[in-house]
Amino acid sequence: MTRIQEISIDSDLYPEKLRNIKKPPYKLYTIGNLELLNKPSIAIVGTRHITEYGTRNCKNFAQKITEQGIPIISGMAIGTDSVAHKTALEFGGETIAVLPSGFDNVYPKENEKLFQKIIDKNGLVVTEYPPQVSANSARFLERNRIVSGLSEGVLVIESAFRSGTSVTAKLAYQQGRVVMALPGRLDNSFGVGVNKLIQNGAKLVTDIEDIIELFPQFMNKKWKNNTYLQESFFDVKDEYSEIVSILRGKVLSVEEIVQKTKEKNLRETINLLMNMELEGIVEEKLGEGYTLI
Amino acid sequence: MLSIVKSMSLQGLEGILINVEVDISAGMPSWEVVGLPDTSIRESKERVRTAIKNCGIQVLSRKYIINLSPANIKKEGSMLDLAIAVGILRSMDVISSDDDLENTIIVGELSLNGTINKVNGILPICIEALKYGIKRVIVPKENAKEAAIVGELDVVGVSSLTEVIKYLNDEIKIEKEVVDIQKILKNNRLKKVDFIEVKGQETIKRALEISAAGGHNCLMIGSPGSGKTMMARRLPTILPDLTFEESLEITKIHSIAGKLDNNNLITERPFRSPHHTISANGLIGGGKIPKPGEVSLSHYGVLFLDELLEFNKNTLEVLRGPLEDRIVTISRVGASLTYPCNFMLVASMNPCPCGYLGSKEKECTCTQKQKEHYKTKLSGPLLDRFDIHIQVPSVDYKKLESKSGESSENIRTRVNNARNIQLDRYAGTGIYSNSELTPRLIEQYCTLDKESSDILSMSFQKLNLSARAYSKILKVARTIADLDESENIQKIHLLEAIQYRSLDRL
Repeated sequence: MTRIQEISIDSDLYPEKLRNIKKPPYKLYTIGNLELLNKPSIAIVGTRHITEYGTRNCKNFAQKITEQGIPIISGMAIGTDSVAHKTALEFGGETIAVLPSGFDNVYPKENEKLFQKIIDKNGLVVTEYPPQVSANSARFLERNRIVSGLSEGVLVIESAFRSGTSVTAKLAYQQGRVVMALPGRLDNSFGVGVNKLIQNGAKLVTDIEDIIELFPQFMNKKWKNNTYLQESFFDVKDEYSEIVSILRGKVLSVEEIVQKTKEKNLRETINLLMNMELEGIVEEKLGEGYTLI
Repeated sequence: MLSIVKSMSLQGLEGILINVEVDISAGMPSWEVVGLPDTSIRESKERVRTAIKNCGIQVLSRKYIINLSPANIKKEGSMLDLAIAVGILRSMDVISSDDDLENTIIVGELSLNGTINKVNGILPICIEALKYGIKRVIVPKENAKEAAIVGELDVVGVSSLTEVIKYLNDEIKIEKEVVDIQKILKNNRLKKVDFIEVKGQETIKRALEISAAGGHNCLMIGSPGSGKTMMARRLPTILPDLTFEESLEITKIHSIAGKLDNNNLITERPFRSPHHTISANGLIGGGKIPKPGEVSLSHYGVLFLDELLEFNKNTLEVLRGPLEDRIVTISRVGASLTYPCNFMLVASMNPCPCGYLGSKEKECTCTQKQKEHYKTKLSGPLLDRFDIHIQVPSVDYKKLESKSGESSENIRTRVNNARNIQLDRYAGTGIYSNSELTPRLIEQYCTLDKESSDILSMSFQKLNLSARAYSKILKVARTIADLDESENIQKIHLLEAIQYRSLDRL
């Protein structure tokens, strides 16, 4: 944790867009790629209790946004935030995680791996709290104002009625950020919040085009077709590269992986997957199969 | 006049030779059965008297005393009816041959019209009878084939009381019942199901092959319709062949439980799949005089628990002892009995409460919270019981049914091979398969080279494996090495074994 960089509000590195919000953080603690602070980016927020529908669409949007070369900001909570960060990393994109705690007490604990991964993969982690501070519910909301503050616009995936996510959306309005929402499912309580947001004026988005249209700054060629999206971003051993490319953006069972490989049999694949799991490249999810971390 | 006839009663798998002593004397007319009979035996006097009457023999009003010795052991069941009837008829001099019935036991239940009905537990009775030096058994016709399996006894199958009287008075001859055991063993090779019918699902087949080879308990996790039950049903077809002794033991237990359909030797490994509403007693056995439960009925076979998490927690808890000891002792007021239960536990469960997590057909409707909660149901002690966890991916059902998989025969050849290696290696240690390895034996037989032990310790750090996973991984790795006919456990064996700890790695 020696790489922590402290940026105070009067520093040149302090992002201009954050300076303009109500109650800007006095000091930011960061680890990672500082360039990202000043890049236009999009925040993806949503419930921690993400459904299948949410996961699928969150992944899809995160992938498309990443492919446009736009960094994704989120809060590194479980559920929506994790999906957004992970997808961005999987597709070789950049991502910023804003923590509700200091770096000594990474919250939530389950995401310590993800935290490390974001730093390793040229992403950025930010918090306004000194390292020894631990998370509490008030800090979640304080964290959310930075998430929206650092972004150009906030994409809401799923949220329950009157939830933390709705508060983030409200903060985003107040900060003058664009609030976008995915249409929620009518038959699910986590569809209520987003639909309410849409009724109150949030932009309904169904496609990456809808998002690009809202932000003239992303039309700029500079951000399009970015070159980080190269295979070389994943510097994996040759023997793993086939499986890595098969697994990108997908969750597959061992069986499906075997079928997709050129000429690997079941036992070779199992062995490779196990090796990769030990090296922290893939993980197995209950009921779903293998996925890249 | 006093007469003594031999019969047999069962206490669990143990037979007790019973002397049925009948005395008819002058005095107040009465029928008395003494010697700790239960209700079904006490009622037998009515059946016996009526049956004798309906055979056209006059039953005189006398004092009838029937003693079942040894008199201090509780006896149950209707199997003593025939012996009591023969005793009375001998006392009445209706049966008056020189045949002293010294080396004969008589077993059977009587109907009021004199026909002889079949009874449960004939096979264990006959096996036990041999130990007492019995040479001949008189049994109900329907049970004769079952009794003949024992081979060394003269089996006389009878269908009515009149026939018995004539037979014992040497008025008719009854052919000894003989069965050709080799033929039975061969005939039953025809299996109803086969792995050839399962296309795809290679990962599961592989896992089941390893389970079968090492006798490992296996847990399958997958959404409904992914073929978990279908695969489990085919598991017995790849299990190692039964020996005659094993067949006999399985048949004994099924005979006692009255679950022998055709009164024949059981030559296939049993596959039991009790419903999840089963009680603890149903599972391990119970009753006033305990009967074998599902664990004993799946002795030398497979106990399949479908939807494992739907089972009552206490019910699963009682499995712990039997799984370790491979026998189960059930104590009740009536008796304390021990039944063997050396079975392989195979279970299935859904990956989430709604069941469709990761399914291709239907969307999972569970929230993250529900999924987390579901995982907590998988407690340590529960996972402790399984050596292999395997995730079953959902597949197109049509694809599952088409014929193009590997045949069970092929797989069984490999399994048999691996089992034989184990039998040779463990000769004299009192265990038969890798799943039974004790910590001390693991140290002796599951040695790892430097590279492999590095991998193992690394996997413990990186994958959060629990301590209990350690011995399971080594046992499974040993079996995989045996399937490869490899002397030592190598890196590839170890890695595959770690892969089969899905739930520990979560």
